[in-house]
Amino acid sequence: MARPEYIARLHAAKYDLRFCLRSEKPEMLRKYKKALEDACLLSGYSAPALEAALAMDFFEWVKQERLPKPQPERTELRKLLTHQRHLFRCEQPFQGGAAAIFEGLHREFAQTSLLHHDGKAGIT
Amino acid sequence: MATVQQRADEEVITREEWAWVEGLIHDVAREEKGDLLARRFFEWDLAVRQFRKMEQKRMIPGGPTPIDLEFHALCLHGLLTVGHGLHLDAKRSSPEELARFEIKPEEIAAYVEDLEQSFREWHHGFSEQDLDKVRQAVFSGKA
Repeated sequence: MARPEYIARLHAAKYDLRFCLRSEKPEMLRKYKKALEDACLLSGYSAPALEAALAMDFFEWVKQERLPKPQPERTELRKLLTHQRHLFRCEQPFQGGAAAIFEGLHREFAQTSLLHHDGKAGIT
Repeated sequence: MATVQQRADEEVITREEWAWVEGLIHDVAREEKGDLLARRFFEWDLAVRQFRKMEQKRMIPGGPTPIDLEFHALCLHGLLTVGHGLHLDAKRSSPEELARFEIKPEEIAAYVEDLEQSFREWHHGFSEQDLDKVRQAVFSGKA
């Protein structure tokens, strides 16, 4: 079955919201809400029903559109990690926070996030 | 007369209890300001991104497994708890502290809302039958 254009627009707005820069989040959230509101009007279904019904189709759409993966590659992470010790004047990898809470998550990602942020903010 | 006195006493106790809890939260928030807030925020930010990566990998057409859904919900609960705490802390932090690390409370709020939206998508009260009806209507162009 063909995916209506308004659903594709909704998926696009969700993709932008999920994988945009942090500074763009509030604006992307506003756009997603607008796209969801439009989809509700056009389909006649409520927002929670549409969100639940289309959750899987979003990933199908991402695959079909061949959209880029949102995460940096591991080689890039390794490069960024060379600066890790300068962060927040810490000599050791961080022990607290989300990286520690979610044991299954790679610590490297948490560290790289800080590096990435500092790089952008010009913090050395 | 005795009942009125008893009610007044209970109100005082309740207020004192609330004040004690509020004070406790305030102490915790004060301890977590500054660099620690920024550190927690960036760790959380990356944890969210890693969660999204995992989500994209596992929520595949054909359906996620019950284990995927269980961990998806657990992770979302954890991220939302941290996110709400960070948002509260960020609102209580000074503009100078936030500006130093380019943290904006509205960005954290948008992050949290994005996570809440994910929770609504996957962990809801709709039956699969109900959702199929919606999908049929939307994709057949009848909606």
